[in-house]
Amino acid sequence: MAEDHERIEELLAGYDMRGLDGEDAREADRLLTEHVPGCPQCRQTLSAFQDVLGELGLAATPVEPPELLLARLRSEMRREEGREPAGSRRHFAAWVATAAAVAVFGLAVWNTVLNQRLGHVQATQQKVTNAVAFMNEPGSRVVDLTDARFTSSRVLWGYRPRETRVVLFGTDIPDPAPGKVYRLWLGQGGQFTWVSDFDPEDGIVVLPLVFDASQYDQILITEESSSEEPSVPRGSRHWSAALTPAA
Amino acid sequence: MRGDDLDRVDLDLHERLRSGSRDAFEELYRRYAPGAYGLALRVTGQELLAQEVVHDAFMALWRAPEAYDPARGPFRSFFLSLVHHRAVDTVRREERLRRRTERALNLTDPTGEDVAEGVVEEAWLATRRKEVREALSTLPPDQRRVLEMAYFQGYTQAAIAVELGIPLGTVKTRTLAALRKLRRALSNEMD
Repeated sequence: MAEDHERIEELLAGYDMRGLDGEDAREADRLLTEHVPGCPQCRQTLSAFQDVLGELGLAATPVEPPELLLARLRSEMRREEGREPAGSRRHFAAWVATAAAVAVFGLAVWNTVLNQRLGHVQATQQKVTNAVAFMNEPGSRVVDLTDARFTSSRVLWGYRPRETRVVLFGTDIPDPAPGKVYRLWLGQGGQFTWVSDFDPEDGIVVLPLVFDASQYDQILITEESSSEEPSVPRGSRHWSAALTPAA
Repeated sequence: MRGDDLDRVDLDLHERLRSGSRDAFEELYRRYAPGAYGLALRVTGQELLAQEVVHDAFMALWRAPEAYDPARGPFRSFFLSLVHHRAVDTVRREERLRRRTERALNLTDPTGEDVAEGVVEEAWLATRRKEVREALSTLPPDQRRVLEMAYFQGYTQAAIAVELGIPLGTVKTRTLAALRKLRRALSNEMD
């Protein structure tokens, strides 16, 4: 039995570090369901490893996050409190209500599409809800990006003038070619700055960002080789739109 | 403030958070946001991703504070684990981005770094940080390397085996040995 527990502890160590995949991950799941709950030794080991790994996080150098992050959290907490009953801050009804509110912007067609695709993916659902709510807030502006080839895709750039929160939100985005990635750029006077790379998940993209985009006059999404450094747009050009720099 | 006192304050803040106290939430943010952001930044190697990780972790805490069970250890361990798991999940999704950004960052040695400018933290927490780093530094290099690749760079054990050109079983053995040593070292420090 000692040998069994050595093997189990190896798996628990890997499990606690999020380091397992394949057969090891399946075996750990089985052990956590069938063996660990009834084994005091394994429960103690699991708990001890979790404590150690929590403490290991202290080894990283603390860095003060941008002030905007707390402001964003406060805003989101207020919004959730105003939208949902206490004690059930995250549920599907809120998602439906928010999606329905998007109709104000003429985006109702997304409601059905997104509900069908995302009803079972809570994390993505929450991100979509947040993005849609952000674009639906008073003062927010939404720019529709277009692509001559992918006409069934819908890509929006949501922002608020003189604020640093922006979001890129898209549906029906085809996967990039193997070895490629979508690359988001912002342009100013024909010079482009790399912002971020992304891959769609089930055709959905939600990319919340925090930075000052007010001085840019163009937004562009290209498909680039994932191994290349993002210096200037070189690959296929897809969605784009003109932006109005903030006064 | 001593470690026990720090834990008691955290417990009190968590209890108030369960009652919906925003003040308690903001105090927990003040205490743990720099550590959480530093950890997320180290794992993801990208400021925007790290901000998303920390944002999501604090929102998860706000939405479901009952996820933390005080009987299972200090709040900081729970919360940093939450941040770490989210950071690793994020970096797996953004694998290409991680590979690119880590070249621009010095991610090879998490120990011996000072607290970043502008960060104010409890003295005991700073002491504990020093202890954790010292415990890490006592690990044999091969064990430490495996632990750092898994924890701070989000590698799976299989990926570590490929990267280092060693059998998967060796990665597992080194990981377990490293965790056991850290467990002993940190337990001794707490006694």
